[in-house]
Amino acid sequence: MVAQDTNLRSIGGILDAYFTAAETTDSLARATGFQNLFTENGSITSVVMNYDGTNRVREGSWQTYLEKTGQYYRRFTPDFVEISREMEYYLEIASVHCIVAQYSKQNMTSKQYKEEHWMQFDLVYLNERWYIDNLLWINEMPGVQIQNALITDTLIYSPE
Amino acid sequence: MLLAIHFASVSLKLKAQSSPIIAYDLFYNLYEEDDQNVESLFTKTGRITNVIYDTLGVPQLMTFTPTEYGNQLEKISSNYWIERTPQVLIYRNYGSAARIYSTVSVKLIDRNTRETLLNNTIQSVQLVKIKGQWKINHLSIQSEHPSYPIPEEMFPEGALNIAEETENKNDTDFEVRPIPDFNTEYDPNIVYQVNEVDDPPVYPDSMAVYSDLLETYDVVTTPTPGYTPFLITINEDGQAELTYVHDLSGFQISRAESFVRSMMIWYPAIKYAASVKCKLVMYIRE
Repeated sequence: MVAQDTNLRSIGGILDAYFTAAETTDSLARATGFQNLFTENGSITSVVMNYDGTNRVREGSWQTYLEKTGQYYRRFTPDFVEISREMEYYLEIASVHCIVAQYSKQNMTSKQYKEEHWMQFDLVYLNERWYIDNLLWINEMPGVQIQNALITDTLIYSPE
Repeated sequence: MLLAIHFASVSLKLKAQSSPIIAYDLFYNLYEEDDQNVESLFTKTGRITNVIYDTLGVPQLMTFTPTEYGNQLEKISSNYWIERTPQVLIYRNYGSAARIYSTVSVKLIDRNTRETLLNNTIQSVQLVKIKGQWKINHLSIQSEHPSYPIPEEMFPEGALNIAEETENKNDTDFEVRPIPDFNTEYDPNIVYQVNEVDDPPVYPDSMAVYSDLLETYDVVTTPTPGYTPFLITINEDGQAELTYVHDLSGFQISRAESFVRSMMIWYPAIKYAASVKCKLVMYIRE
């Protein structure tokens, strides 16, 4: 379950390892996987956009995230499919942007739900491998394609 | 890549953090604002991560709460005037989340001697909108290393040069001429060989990163004794796919699968100005 450190030397490797850990239904194995991937102070933030345009932001450590999502994992089995990825990086830091489809299969009924997210990973390279220092995701809003999240503007700063 | 240049001109008088750019601007002008404290610009669990190097050159992480970071800045400001000037910002925004990856020049001017220290940094700022206000949720800082300068496109002159080159290229490439054997029927089933395409697929990173990937999985790109060939296909969307592994052992297949999974998204091959599938022959150690 725990990804080999050699795989974590590439950005693709640590993202794969994250999705594998996040798909793990065994809570202990999931915690071990997250512990191997996140920095000590690593954090996870979720932003849920409601249909009326309001939002709900939940922030905390990766340990808090694991505690609070226990109920979800008891009811559903998730499957993450990465659709596209972009990144900016310099030396030991990288900001990686993924559009990800999350499939949640309800354990009782086998009914499957799909939701697409923009996931932002802040990575740091320490001890010859990458770690996740921060992860944020936001869900797709009705009528606004989540792929739009990857559109960039390059701005030249010019304060008044 | 299309490079859009806009000029951010944000009035410091706008106190409300009503857009990601205003929240970003307030943070970098903290000491020009007399009634703004650093905590108010961050979320409850907001954090700053700074990568520094120890005396042996080994990277270390320093993590600060906004209060600790503010205290650090105040401590420095007792001896120096601090100027933090953003240069070029790469901006993304969707709903209540935003990201600004930027170059920030940090100037410290000694209050007594007027001696000036200049340090360029990359600062990646993640913002979220909470109760109508944009707040910084996470900030990663990496100082420039003298041996590995920050790419020139992350400074205004370089960004403008790229914009100009893109514009000129668009002008000169606008000449349309017929291609005698142009085939308008796109066939998604055709997988071209490298010598059949106009531009072969390109790995989106430096040669060093690609070489590192090859080395990690013991893969080479030319026939080598002790190595078995296999095929990968770079699809039109740049995704790599393992397509021929019949000569490989089970162990080699497993390694080849990991190798392909670790790849970033390629720039796909181009034929007749369109992205096409292209196969690459590689060799993995027996």
